[in-house]
Amino acid sequence: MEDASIIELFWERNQQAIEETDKKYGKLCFSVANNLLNNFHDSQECVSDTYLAVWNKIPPTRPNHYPAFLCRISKNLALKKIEYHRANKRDSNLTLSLDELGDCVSGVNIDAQLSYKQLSVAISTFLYSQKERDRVIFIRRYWFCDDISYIAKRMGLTENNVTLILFRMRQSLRKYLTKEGFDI
Amino acid sequence: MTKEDLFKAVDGVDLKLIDSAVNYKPHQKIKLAIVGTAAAVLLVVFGTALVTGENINNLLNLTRTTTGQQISNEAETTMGVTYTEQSWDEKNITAKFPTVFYAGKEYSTLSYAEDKKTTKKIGNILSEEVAYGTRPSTEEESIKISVYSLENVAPEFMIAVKFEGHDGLYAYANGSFKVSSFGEFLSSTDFVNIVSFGDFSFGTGEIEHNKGELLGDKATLLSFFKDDMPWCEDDTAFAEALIEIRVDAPEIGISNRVFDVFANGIVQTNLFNHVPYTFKMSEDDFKRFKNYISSLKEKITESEINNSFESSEITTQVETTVPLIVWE
Repeated sequence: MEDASIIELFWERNQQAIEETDKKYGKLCFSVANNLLNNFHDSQECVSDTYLAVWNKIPPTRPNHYPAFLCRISKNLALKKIEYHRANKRDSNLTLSLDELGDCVSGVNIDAQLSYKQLSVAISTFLYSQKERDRVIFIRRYWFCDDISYIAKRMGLTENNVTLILFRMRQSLRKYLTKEGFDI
Repeated sequence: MTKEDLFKAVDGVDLKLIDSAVNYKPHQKIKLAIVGTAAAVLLVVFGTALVTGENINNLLNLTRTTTGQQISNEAETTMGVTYTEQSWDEKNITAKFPTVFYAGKEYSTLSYAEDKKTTKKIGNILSEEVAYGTRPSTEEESIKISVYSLENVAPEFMIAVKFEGHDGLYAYANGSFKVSSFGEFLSSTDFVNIVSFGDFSFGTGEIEHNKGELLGDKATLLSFFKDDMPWCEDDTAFAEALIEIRVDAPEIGISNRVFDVFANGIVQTNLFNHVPYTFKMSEDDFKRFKNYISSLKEKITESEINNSFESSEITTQVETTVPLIVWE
């Protein structure tokens, strides 16, 4: 079923909307949550919570990018769960992605005045200036927290190619953010 | 800014970017074999038509149709619409089993999808194990493997794997293997013997092709990096590169990696691993290295001047003869 039709079902308050979403995007939502939580039950719970959240958001929302909309909700729920569990339960994928991003920054706490939104816009602009393949790799690694071997298989590249692309992109991102006046 | 700040900011990127990452299909170029087959089919069509005395117009019409279909298939394929993942049977052995376990540690192939066997001298057999792979249908596959050491390489870092029923051995590295110093890195990896230096570039400048000999021999270059140079975890690794050298390790099937020295004295290579090995030079050593790099740059500039001088002589000769030919 087309995304627009699924969204219509939500607007009609038809519960088939959830079934169709699960059929089409259930695995995707699960993988987003599981990449962060590394726990089957917690991830499944996140997926169910995602559907509930979507049910509550549509209407009035009418998302233009439905899969991205779902992924963002699943990810936020998973991050909240991590926050909730907190103690010693951080998954290696998240830790590894975070550690790699550490390459781009100084480690000094962010200026309270700096808006994350500005930084997100700058990162989006930077990503749009990159080759499509490279920006997909970047998003898969640092947004979805996919592991390198999965990205390599998905993109038809070797793991080392993926690593090298990410390495170069982190370097370029650091330079770009510095140039844009961010105190990194 | 901390990495957590950056992570949060990445989380807020434009939804279109996330959407495209969900829906992205890698481009796949049409295979030469398909073009070859199509060409062969065309030849047969022409041949048959000629033998049976078909009208030449019919023949040309048929050719147009066939070519048209071929073009549309190609376009469809290059747009990524018909992308299909390589089937299990098409995969080579290291792509089927990209990771193996030995002594409780996970080792990853160094030649994923490339089928590059190691030619490095093999040491003792260490263990008999079973490796597991996953078919696209999520069926699990297993194969018996024999694990060997590689000469002068710490098995905690890298092993050679022989798959049952397959010839040759493949190098696999432990991605989480860490060292405390450059000396330990050299001795654990047999770096000096297996690495070869190739093209290089200064900073983000142009790559100096085929000038690897100007770097001097490996020993000269590596003499700037002391054994006690400590492992460095750190975020400062991504300053401007002072020099970036392309490195290969053909014996273990690795090519096209980099060995970098950064303007803040960080030395780094991704030769073996997804997470680069990173070390910090002492201030004195870094000063000496910078001088060495400056002298290298001078040498290259001199050779470029000499080359341009030689070519300008040739140009002058040409210029004196060409007008005569033109104006006569």
